[in-house]
Amino acid sequence: MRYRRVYIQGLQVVVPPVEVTTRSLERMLGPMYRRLGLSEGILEGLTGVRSRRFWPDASTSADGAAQAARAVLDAEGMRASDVQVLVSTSVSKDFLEPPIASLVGGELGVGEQCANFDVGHACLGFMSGMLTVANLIELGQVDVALVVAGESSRTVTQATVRRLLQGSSDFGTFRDNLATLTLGSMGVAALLVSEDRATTGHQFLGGVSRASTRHSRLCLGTATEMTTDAPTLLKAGVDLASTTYEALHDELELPRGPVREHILHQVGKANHDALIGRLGLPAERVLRLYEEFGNVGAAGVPFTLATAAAQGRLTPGEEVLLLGIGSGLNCTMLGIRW
Amino acid sequence: MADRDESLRRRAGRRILGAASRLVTRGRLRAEQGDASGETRPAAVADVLLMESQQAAYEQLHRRFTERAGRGDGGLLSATDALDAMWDNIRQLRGGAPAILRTLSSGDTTVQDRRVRFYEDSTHLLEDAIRAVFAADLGQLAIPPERLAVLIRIAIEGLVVELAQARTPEDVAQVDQAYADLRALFQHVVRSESGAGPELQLPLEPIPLPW
Repeated sequence: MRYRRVYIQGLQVVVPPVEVTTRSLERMLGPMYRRLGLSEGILEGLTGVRSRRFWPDASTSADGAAQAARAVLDAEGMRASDVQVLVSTSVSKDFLEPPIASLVGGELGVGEQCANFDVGHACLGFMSGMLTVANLIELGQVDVALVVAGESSRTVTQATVRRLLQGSSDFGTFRDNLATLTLGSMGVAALLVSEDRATTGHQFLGGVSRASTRHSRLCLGTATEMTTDAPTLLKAGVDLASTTYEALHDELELPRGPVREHILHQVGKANHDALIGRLGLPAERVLRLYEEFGNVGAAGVPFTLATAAAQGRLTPGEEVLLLGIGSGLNCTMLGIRW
Repeated sequence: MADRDESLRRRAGRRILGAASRLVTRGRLRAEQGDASGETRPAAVADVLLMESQQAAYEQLHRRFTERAGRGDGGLLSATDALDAMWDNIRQLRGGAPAILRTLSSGDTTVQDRRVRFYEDSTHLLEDAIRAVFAADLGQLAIPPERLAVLIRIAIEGLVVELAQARTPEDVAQVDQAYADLRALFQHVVRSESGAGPELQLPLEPIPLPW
C-alpha cells in the first residue's frame, strides 16, 4: 500500500497513573515463590520488564482511549465534531458490545456522521487501524480520522496472580503464565488527516502486511488468561518479520539497510534482541520501552513512536519505520516520512 | 543449528527407546515360547538395548551440565535447567516406561550384569556433571557430589516407576507434580549453606514472550 495524501497530524499518549513494579508483583506471589524456591528478581531477569502501569480500579480501557483521544484533539485544536471516522484498536475489551469506538465516541461527543467501529488485530490493531483509515483518506472518502487504543491489563494480571497462588501451581504453571505478568496498560490516539488538512508534514507513506496463519493457535488469550507457545512464536515471528521487512523496502522503494529510527512493538528482552538481530538494526536506533512499561498490546507501537518524537529522535523529512508482530501470526510494517 | 541437533538427538532417542520397548515385548513373548522349547532367551538383547537407550538420557544430562560449565555458565540454574531437560526427555519416552521397569527387575544374568554397570555408569556421569556445574562452589553443596548423584538417580528411577504405572492424565499430572516438588527440594537442599539460600541465582537468560 502506498499513500500520497495521508498525514499524521497528531499523536498523544496517556500513561496510566498506577505503577506496579515487577518486584511488587513478585512480593504478591511470595507464597508461590517460597514454595517453588524462586528468588525475587527472576521475573525481571527472564523478561527484562521492570515495571508496568495500570489504570485506577474503576477505569476501563475505553476511558484510557477516550482520554488520549481528547488529548490529541485538544493538542491539534480540533473538535470532536470534526472527526469523520473513529476506529478503536485495543486488544482489551470492556464489553463484547457495543464497539469500544462507540464508547469513546460517546465520551468525546462525536457527530452523527462519524463512522465508528473496532478493528481487532491483536497487538497490530493500531497499525491496522491506521491502514484502514488511510485507505479512506486516500480514496477521498474522509479527511479527518481518529485511531485509538486503550489497553488495560489489570484484570488479567490479577486473575493470573490469583491462579498462581493456588496450592496446585507448580513451576510449569509459573512458566506458562509468566508472559501475562509482563502486560501493562496505556492509552494512545492518533489523528490522521488528508493532505489538505495537514499542518505537520508527517506523511504516512504506506506499509505492508504478511501473515502466517498456520501459527494462529500459538497464543490464545481470554479476559483472564493467556496461554502461549512463546519459543515457537518468537521464531515464527522473527521469520515473518524478516520477509515483511524486505517487502516493506520494496513497497516503499527504500534503500536497503536501516533508517534513522525504527519503532518496534514492545514485548521483552529476548524478543527485542532477536528481532533487531535478525533485521540487522543498530541497537541505538531502536527504543526499548518494555523495561518500564511492559507489553501494552496495540498501544505499544504508537506509544513508542510518540516517545521517540518527544525525545527528539525523529528528524523532519527522514523516514521512520514502524515494525509490529502480532499473534495470528501477522506482521505489519509501516513507513512515515517525519 | 544447535537447537536442530538437539531436536534430532531427542527424536533419535525416542525412536531407539520405542524400538527397544517393542523388542522387549516381542522378545519376552519369544522367550516364553523359547523356554518351553528349550531355545535361548532373546529378551536379554532387547533389555540391554533398552537400558542403553535410557543411559542416553543420562549422557545427555552430562553433556548439558559440562557444556554449560565449559561456557562458565554453572550453578544451580544450569543444573535445574539440565535436570528439566532430562525429565522432559523421560516424560516424552513415557510409552517405554513399563518396559524399563520390566528390564530393571529382570532376573536374566546378562541383564543383571548390564544393570549393575548401568547404575554405576549413570551415577558416575551424574557425579561428574555435578562436579563440573558446581565447580566454583563445591564446598557449599549440602550433600557431596557422589551422594547427590546417587540421590538423583534413585529419584529419577522412582519417577520412571511411577510413570510406568500411570494410567490416566491425572496419574501423569501427579508424577509431574512429584518431579516439580523434587526439583524444588533439590533447589532448597543443594545450596543450603550459601548466603543466598536455596533460590535460583541471577543473572538469568531472557526468555521468549508472545508478541
